[in-house]
Amino acid sequence: MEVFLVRHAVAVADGAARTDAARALTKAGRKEFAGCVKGLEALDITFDALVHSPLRRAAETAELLVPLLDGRTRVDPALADRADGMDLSTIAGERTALVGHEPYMGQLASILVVGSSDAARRFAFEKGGVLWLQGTRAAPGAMEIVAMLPPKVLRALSSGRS
Amino acid sequence: MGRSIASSAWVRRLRSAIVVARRGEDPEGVHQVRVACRRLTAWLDLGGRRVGRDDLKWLRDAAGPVRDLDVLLTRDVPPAMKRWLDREWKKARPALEQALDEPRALATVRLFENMGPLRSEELDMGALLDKAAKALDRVDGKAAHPEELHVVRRKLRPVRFALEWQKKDARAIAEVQDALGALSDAVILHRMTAQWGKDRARERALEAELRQLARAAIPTLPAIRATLKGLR
Repeated sequence: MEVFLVRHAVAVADGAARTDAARALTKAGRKEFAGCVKGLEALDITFDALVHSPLRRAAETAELLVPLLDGRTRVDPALADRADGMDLSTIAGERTALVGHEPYMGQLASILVVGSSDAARRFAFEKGGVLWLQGTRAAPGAMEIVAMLPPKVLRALSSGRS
Repeated sequence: MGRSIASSAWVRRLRSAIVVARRGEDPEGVHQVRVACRRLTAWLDLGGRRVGRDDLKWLRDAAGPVRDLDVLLTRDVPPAMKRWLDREWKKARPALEQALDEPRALATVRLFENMGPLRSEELDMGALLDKAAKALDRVDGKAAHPEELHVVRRKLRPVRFALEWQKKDARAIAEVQDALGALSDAVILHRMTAQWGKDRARERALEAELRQLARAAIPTLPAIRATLKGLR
């Protein structure tokens, strides 16, 4: 199975929305991430499940990933919270994208690759960045890294295709 | 800049309906969970948005069996069937409670609380109208099958809700829905009577009633088509 950890795209600054949870993507963030989606498309990446946090910036990022989805979406509050609170058995698809926030995406990456959240800081996610993992199951220490895809690289892939 | 449409009123209703549904004392709570989910699904469809749709469907489906049984328990059914419905309700209720206790239920409400309003440039009834028209095209005008007409009624519902979100006149659609309402109720009653499987004579009587209701609905089909066409 493959798991794609995605950090949300660039959102408006703290204080620019009524709550932190309601912070929307900026126009530029939306445009840049649309380029990232094209980059994923250039790599023939598709998902059979798309899981995202309930925060607006993650939901809007997930919405931009929908063209790559052939399956269902699901909101999971653990993606906006501590990654060790996430029930990994719910990651059941063959190609699941998880859209969330830092530092939790780093923690989740560390749990899946290393077996604990201790190495979270080594997985530095840029906004709109994607970590591509594979393994036989989504369990602590059971996955390996296929690629870390920063947004710049994804956008370059998309322009390379056109 | 055009008008935007916020979902907040129905999100608040969903939040409080979940509380009432979980308490389990008032059947209206379960009903309102389903209504709010449908209204919010139509809101997403109107804006061509996808995220949140499957969560609403999950919640709506979780409430479905209890709601159907709540409705049937108010109907005039034989005492033996009523006892069976009671038992089925008691079996269905824990599954609903389990779903409502899942973090996903509250997270769905939070998701919608955080969403931005639909912008005027996002609004598009096209997909909803296509689905309703497709359901209508499947109906055999000569020998209308009750289940097909039941689907038409279901597909008209989001069209009506989408019109209401835009504060547009939805009376024509609502009238058709009302006209098909008795048929939809009878479809569900027939389905459950067949599932109960203890009263073949009643099943046959319901089948005859359904055929009659379907025949009565056929002359309304051209008007529904024209209404949908007028909304394009």
